Amino acid sequence: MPSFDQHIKQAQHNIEFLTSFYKTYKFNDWAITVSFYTAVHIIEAIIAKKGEIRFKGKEYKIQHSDQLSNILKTYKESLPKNFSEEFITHHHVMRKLIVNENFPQVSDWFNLLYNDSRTARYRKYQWQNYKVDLVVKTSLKELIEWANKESGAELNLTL
Amino acid sequence: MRNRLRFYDSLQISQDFLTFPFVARLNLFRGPDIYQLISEYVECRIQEAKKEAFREGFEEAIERIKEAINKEIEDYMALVTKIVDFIYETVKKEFKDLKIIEERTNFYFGSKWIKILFIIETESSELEIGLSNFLNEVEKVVFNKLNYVCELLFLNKKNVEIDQESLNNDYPFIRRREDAS
Repeated sequence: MPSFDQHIKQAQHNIEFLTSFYKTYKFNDWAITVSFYTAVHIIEAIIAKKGEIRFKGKEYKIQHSDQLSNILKTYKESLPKNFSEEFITHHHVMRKLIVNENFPQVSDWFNLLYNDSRTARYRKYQWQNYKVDLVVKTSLKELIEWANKESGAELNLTL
Repeated sequence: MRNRLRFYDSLQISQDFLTFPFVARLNLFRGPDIYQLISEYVECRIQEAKKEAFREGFEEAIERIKEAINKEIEDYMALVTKIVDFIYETVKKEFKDLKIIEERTNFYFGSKWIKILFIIETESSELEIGLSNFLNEVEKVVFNKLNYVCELLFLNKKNVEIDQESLNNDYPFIRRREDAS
């Protein structure tokens, strides 16, 4: 599993890529995609740093959200009521549930990115400029500031 | 030898006949082993009775399972409908410049996954953020209090060409609205 530093390094790598083309508004689809995956690395970095998360009120010692899926797959008795095994394989769904329960400060911002990544195909990957601004200048920016404060990461989004 | 019948009335004969010991009656006949024949017959009836009891028990169990499954499905579909309607009504009241055009869903009876997509129309990005936050809050309540995994998404169709085929494939059910224009 990648470490905190590796996730932060990849997040910064994505941010630099994003800033290299973002203002042209020529690749809005890629701006949304890169923003979402930057957010994913930020969340995974914080999970790696904390080393434990809560899921349905129970504590789990994990370094990556995928490990929670593996634990729940192995110890099926720990699956919450109505929680089908099927969800374990939906890594994005699992990560979102983790974010909602553990990082409420940024769950709304993460949710906005999640929404856009899930509905991209229905809009044929066409994104208006305002949408990209919304995602980059608010959602991603808020997530970056939170991660820096929470973990001492030095992510830098210069627009 | 006295003819006994002459001394019995018909009621007494009937009583006598019916209470005549069964085993004694058997002794009146000679021939194959009647005990064997009877025990085989009784065994056969018991087996039939067992089968009948199993079938009745099986049917009862199936009926109970069917009821439980129907109840599960009903609860699940009722919850999806409740969420859709709650969001529709709240948006109508709280988000004046945002219109919900369609509420689409699919049903996952196995996993009971609640996936609803709201097709909206608005010019305001602030309202989009507001709606996104509101949907996220509803998702949390549904998961935390009711234990259903819930994904509430929205798509602003303003100035966007929608891939209707993908939409129909992933979210084939549309909530009926009497007041839909």
